[in-house]
Amino acid sequence: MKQTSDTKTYDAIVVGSGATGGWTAKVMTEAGMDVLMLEAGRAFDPENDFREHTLPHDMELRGRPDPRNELLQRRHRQSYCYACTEVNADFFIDDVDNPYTEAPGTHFNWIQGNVVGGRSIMWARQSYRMSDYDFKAASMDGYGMDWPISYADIAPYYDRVERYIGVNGRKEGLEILPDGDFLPPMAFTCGEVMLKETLTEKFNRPMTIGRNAVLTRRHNGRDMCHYCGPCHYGCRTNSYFNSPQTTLVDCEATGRFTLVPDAAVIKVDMLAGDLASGVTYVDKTTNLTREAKADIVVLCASTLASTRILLNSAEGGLANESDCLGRYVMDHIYATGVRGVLEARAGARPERANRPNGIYVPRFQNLKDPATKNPNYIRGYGYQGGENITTWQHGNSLPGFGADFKRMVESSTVSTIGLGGFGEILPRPENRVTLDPETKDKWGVPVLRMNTTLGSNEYAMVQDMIEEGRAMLEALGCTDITQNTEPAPIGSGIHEVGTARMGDHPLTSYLNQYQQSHTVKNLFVMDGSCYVSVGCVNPTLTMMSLALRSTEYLVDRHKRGELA
Amino acid sequence: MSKQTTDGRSRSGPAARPTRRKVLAAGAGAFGYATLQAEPIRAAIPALAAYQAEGSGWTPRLLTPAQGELLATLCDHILPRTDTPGALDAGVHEFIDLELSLAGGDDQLAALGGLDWIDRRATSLHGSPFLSLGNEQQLDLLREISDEHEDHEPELVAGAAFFSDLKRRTLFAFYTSKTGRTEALGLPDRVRVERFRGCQHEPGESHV
Repeated sequence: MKQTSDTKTYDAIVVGSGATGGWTAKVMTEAGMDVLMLEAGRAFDPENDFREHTLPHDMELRGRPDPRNELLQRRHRQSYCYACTEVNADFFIDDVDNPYTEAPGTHFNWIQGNVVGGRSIMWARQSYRMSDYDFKAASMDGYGMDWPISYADIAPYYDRVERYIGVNGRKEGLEILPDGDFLPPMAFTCGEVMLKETLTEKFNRPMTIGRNAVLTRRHNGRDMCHYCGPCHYGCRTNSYFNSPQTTLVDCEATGRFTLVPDAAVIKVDMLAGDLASGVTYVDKTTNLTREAKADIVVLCASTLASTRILLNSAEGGLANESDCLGRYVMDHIYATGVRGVLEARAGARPERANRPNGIYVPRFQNLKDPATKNPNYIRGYGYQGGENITTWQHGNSLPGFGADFKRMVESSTVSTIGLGGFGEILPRPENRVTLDPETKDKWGVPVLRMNTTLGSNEYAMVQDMIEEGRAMLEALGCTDITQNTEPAPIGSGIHEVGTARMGDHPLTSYLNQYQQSHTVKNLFVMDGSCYVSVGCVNPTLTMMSLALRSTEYLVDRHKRGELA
Repeated sequence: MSKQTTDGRSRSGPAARPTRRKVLAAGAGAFGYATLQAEPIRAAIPALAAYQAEGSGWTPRLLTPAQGELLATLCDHILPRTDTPGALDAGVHEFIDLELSLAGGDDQLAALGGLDWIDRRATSLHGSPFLSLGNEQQLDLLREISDEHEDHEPELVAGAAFFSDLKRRTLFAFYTSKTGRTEALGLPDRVRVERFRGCQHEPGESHV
């Protein structure tokens, strides 16, 4: 790995090496620009660090949290995330060194990567397009602000990102969930086919197989999925999208790319006037502070990490005339949903292949058809879930013990159908992150203080999510239906966006439609910070497509000398 | 009691020697007296002597050797060897002792209290601790506190809660073990390349 030279001025610095950082660096280096990428996390070696074939019996506590595991103990917040276990704890940030605070009475789960590739290593890979129901939501229901772009503006970039990363899925022809350029779809289980038939016949609602960034055939030189299951532990066959095994490889191939891990950026440095000159960062291997210089600074540190850098760059936040910086925190309503037993499938044998995907029920409320209007809330939600077949876990609810009990456990299975809602959280200015006046991280840098709550629209949506979910499972013939009506704290969906929103007007938005600061023209924020509203689909595909679109604009303006 | 007797897992192959349950069952068959004490039984059964001599070298982390042996016996009653291996073959009791040794104080107290409850119940019913009872007496005692009954008498509630917790621990420990996974569930011990087939039915065909 090359070391950064303190004297060299790069064409651009990219802060963060995840999904969006990889795309912007790829486009810039392939256009001939010299790029320095600073990544706060550590370097890793797929051969040793990707442990996706770990089975429970390979672990002394079979994957249950091990109090002797110091890595895990230092990730007491990160381990909220299902993907953070003793197998891969060091892909996640150290909560002791990197604290954040919460306003009294509020809770926030901030799950962060600590590795080259960031959360693109551990992401859930679900890849859906937003539609004009999202980009123009304010025009439809009057709440908030439209995006400065429409679906037509981003559609060609969705196409290009999907073709490159490989997204499997089935075309459905739905306005709410635009089709993409898909690899062959994954299959439904029998129970899922039954659910789809029920939704079609009794509810006139579509259901599709999850669209996700996993290869269902060989693609762009990468092998197809071998269905081991836990993609979040890494993939030695490189069969799901992450930046280190794709975009960063392309960057490296240009010979114009310098990647520095363990480099935690503190602030954006400014020239006299309204131009950025580079960044100041902590070299976590030496704990020394260093500076790096460039003509252009692109923050891709993840929404809240980029926001923290900007808040730490100037009193009141750098270039924050709009006062939007840190406000409008959004995520998806997470953890609420229903599950029921599908008696008709009792005894079905689970496949050995572990499909890293589920089903998707697109938003069906508050669409253009007046019959879909729900008077209790605006916007909507989709369901993710599917059929699960137990191998032994049903033993916990079988009565008795002994030989007959054991034979029953081993000869029977239970099928359950789960529907988990992902609902839109409205952009509210009071849902906000600021710098904590007292708490600092290990390197003395002020940390974020989260102040976010769910509102009445979200709770009304949750109630509908549960009622509709129950109705669908009952219509399918499910029994023993259970529900979770308590949404997890904001952040738990790990879809946090919106704290430097884009817009046409500098007084009501932080960035323009190309994710460029309205006032510091060589400063870009190309992660989820730009979101104006969050819709209800997983955000990474949209974030990558926006970064591709914005970086092509950046390269064009750079070549014309307009960013200096 | 000797600590060597607390492990039912065989080092020389699961079929090579009797399980603890079979040994205890043999004891009950040979004597059939509820009031006999444990030590005389041990001395009188050649198979158990051999079993003790064979030993496993297991030293419990949290439990005393006597508690370890009681735990092993309870696990064996929950998931005995059938046509597939049982809890003792997979070292379930060793896993549970390890897990408890790392657990919080409340979980430890609940488990230790539960083991103690079993012996107190055995003593109050039959005048001797659980391991001294014959197999049928042991099973009868456990049936009283099993979740096959929905409501338990107040005096049995604590025991039922312990046994329910132990059952969950035993299921987890057994079926996540290599032995449970491969020999009881028939799953491969390593990840293999697979293809997901999904539903193979024709439209209109039953999925049931």
